[in-house]
Amino acid sequence: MPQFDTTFFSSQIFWTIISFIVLFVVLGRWILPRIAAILQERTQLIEEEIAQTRKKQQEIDEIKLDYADKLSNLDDEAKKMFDASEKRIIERREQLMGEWKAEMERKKRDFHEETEIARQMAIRDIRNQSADLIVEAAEKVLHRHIDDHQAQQALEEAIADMEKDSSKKI
Amino acid sequence: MSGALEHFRVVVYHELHLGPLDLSISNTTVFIWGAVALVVLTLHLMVVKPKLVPGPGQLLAEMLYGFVARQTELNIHGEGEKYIPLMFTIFTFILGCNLIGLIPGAFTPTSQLAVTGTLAVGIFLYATGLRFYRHGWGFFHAFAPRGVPRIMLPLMVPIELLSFLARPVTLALRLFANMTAGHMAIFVLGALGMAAPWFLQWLPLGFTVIQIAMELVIAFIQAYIFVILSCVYIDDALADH
Repeated sequence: MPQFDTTFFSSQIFWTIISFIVLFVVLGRWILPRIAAILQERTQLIEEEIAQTRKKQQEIDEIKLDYADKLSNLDDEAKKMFDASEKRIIERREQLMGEWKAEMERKKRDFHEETEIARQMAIRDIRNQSADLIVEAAEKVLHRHIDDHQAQQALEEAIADMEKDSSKKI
Repeated sequence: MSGALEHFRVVVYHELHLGPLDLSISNTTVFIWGAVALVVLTLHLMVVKPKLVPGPGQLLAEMLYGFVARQTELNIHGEGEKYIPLMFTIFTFILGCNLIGLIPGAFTPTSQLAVTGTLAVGIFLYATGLRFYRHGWGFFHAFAPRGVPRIMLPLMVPIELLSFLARPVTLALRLFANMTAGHMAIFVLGALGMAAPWFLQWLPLGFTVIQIAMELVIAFIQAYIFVILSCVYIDDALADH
């Protein structure tokens, strides 16, 4: 086989070594650093992205925990708000009722006072008219003039008698 | 048969002598240069402007680098990183020499025993030097592994020594033989195709195409094997025995 012919071994060995060294130097100096650098840069970028993602994930977890915590406290808060609202409503109702009762009392009192005044006025009118009637009646019966003072006195006595009679009946 | 071997014949293009040394430029030299240029130019074009998001060429170069780097780190335990440039050079050198031979009419430098032998002996000497550097005279402990009964040593030491010395021979022969056999097979199939009657020519020529496709795969596999074994030898040199 031609490959075992040692004639060309020295040149083949020499040029193999030289070519290999040249390739080693060229690759080592210009090609491989470029590949290694870009791989390193990409790895770094990916690691940074992963770190950021982990941080974001951590934040999300914290928010989720916080939210779950708030959610669990929400029932208590709602109950408190409901109780407070109920209390406010009851207080307001009682206040309104108090006001209404006071108003009613005042109106009742006013009504009684007005009634009393009207009654007094009616009594006074009746007395006056009754006195006039009695005077006229007495003058016709007695055929003499009775002055106002006498008529008034007679009326007072009559009324006093009536009141006595009515109190006896009662 | 001689026709099949003609493909491997060294042709001197330019006589060059340095004293007693014959440094002539032959077809081996030219195609080695071609392979080196092919590797450098291809890789340079692939990573001329490296981007964070790689294009197809850059991706291929990164994959190749990543593959060699991973294999180196896997096989040279703990110290693989600093041998990546060496292993990548071996891989691309052999791959370039293997692939350039697949161009029709081209010469395959790795089908030359002197070329594969130089690479194999080079790695062997490097690993041996490394072992001496690391372990001093402890180098010889590797030939008498711990725990072996003394009575077995006269048998073990020659076997280990033979196994050690056989490393460059097997490394060189494996690559040389694979490349030679592959190209011979292609030649024989091609010659058969040419010699066959016209209606049968498709059969051997079809096989030639398949064989060329296989040779493409073999070119990668052989470069890979050479790198793996080189890593193993270096790892063995670095390891304590």
